[in-house]
Amino acid sequence: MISLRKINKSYKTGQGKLHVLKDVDLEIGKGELVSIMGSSGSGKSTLLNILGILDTYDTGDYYLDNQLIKNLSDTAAAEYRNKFLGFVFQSFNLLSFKNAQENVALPLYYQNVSRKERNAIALDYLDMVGLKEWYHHMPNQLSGGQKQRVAIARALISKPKVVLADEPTGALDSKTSYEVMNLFKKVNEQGITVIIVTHEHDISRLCDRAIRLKDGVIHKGEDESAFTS
Amino acid sequence: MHKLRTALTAFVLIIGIFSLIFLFGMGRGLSNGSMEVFGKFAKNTMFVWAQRTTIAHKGLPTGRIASLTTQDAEAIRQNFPEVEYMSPRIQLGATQVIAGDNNGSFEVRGETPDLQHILPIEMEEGRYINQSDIKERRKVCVIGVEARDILFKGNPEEAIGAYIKVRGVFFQVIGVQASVQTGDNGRNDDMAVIMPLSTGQVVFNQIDRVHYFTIACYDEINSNEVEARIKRMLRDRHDIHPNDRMGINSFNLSNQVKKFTGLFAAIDGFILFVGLGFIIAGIAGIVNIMLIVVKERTREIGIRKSIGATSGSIMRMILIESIIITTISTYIGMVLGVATLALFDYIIRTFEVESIFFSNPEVNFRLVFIAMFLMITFGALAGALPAYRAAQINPVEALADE
Repeated sequence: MISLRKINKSYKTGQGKLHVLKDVDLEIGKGELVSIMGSSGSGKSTLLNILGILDTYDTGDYYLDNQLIKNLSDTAAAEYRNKFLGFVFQSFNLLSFKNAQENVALPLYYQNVSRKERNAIALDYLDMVGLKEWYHHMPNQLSGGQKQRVAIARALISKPKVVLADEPTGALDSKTSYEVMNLFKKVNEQGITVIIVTHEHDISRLCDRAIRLKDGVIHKGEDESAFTS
Repeated sequence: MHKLRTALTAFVLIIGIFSLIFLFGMGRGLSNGSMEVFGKFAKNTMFVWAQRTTIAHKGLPTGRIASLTTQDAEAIRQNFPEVEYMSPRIQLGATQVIAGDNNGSFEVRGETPDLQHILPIEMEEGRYINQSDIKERRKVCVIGVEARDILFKGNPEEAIGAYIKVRGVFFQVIGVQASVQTGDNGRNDDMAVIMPLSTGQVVFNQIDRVHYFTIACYDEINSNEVEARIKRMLRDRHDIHPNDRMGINSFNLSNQVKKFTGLFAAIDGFILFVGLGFIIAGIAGIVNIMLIVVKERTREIGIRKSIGATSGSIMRMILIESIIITTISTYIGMVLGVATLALFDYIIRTFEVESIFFSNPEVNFRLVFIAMFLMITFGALAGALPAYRAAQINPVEALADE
């Protein structure tokens, strides 16, 4: 599903360049539930942004579902994001002036689905995450766990092939974190590839596989159990 | 906060549009009122009369007043083909007029048929003086509407064909005239009793006398030049020094019309300038507010982009918002402006404070629509820069800033 070949990415800083990703090679298969681990500054967010086509890379090749993702036009990138990918963020990133249902329905707005239809679909997805009764609540009337479930419903509504989650449990207590992780597992069981960036070992442990990133390099050979212990 | 700022910005624009419409309407009212006075006169109209001489000439002293005559009228008519209408008039002063049991004092004038083509008067009923009346010195008269209402109190419909007595002579009423002018001039015409010039000259024992000429040249003629030549001829005929500007004096309406036209163009220009200033301030405000809006909504825009919004759709969102703000503001401003003008108009009509120089403040609807169209364009222009900024927002950075 995802294939990275010798991806390099650097940012210009005041004096010189900051080499964030160094010859990153990565294969993630269809239907995998993978975590990307690393301390802050390891480049894991940059990697996720590149995977999410929010950011570009300098050299290398990125194939998403066998399509080369390189030098895309703004419109093409937006379309890939809309149809192939779903995002879940640490800070939820719901629109504060829209209710749960409207937030979930938003990706379909950009697919020109009629308001009536997209709201009906959104309700189904809210039901799936157990928040059907809360559809008219505004984000500030929801708890953190509920907000994240709304965000997951929003990520799923466009039937993506890959869901990218950036520290999805970072702002949640452990009980809620497990609930959210269970939800990701359920999503994964439907055949959707799920990639979770986290620095929490017990979250990582719930995934099929962990990818460890340190200083922009993927560390292979190290046993998975090394992080999960 | 954001709503308040938007409202305040919209307010500036509302005031701008309001003042533009309101001032334009008032300017129009001023020019309507003034142009009504001139507009109904034939174009190129001039008045020529004699005054006390100020330069001694051919052994004659100063302070003399030349007596203009019917022969002068004839001379003008024969020597000036540029003249379309020419009417000598004699003013016979306030005179007791009796009709049955009613009577009153009215200004009596002697006029000729051409005058109806020059002055802003209309026949309410009957007819004006014609050539036969002049030739045969008929004892007929035209009276103003107000004079009719006094002389035929209670039964004004009997005026036509009835006889009124002026200086012991009976005149048959052949017409009732009404001025289309407002103010004193209009009232004078409405209170006048008019007889054929030739009849008036005899009845008032002023054979051949004329007090002044009312002359209208053809439209394409330069009436200033004709005016000068007519005066030269009259000075010559009455032994007045060629440079004696008082001896034969005149007033040319076309100059006056030109002056007023220029004045109103200047007023309109000034109003446009001030109004545009307001509008530009309003638009600058909207550009500003939209830039702040974009800044405040950076995160939202980042989220939208992450879930598949194209730069184009973000741009459209900001543009539409800007257009909505300008359009609503413009609309409110226009409604307020037009409503205030209507109120003014209503007050003027109801309380009859309409003066000669102010009538029917109005704004034409074509102007309103043009303004509306412009505002939407301006809205799009005002939104263009903020929309571009919004489209350029990098989702990674937008989502990173916490």
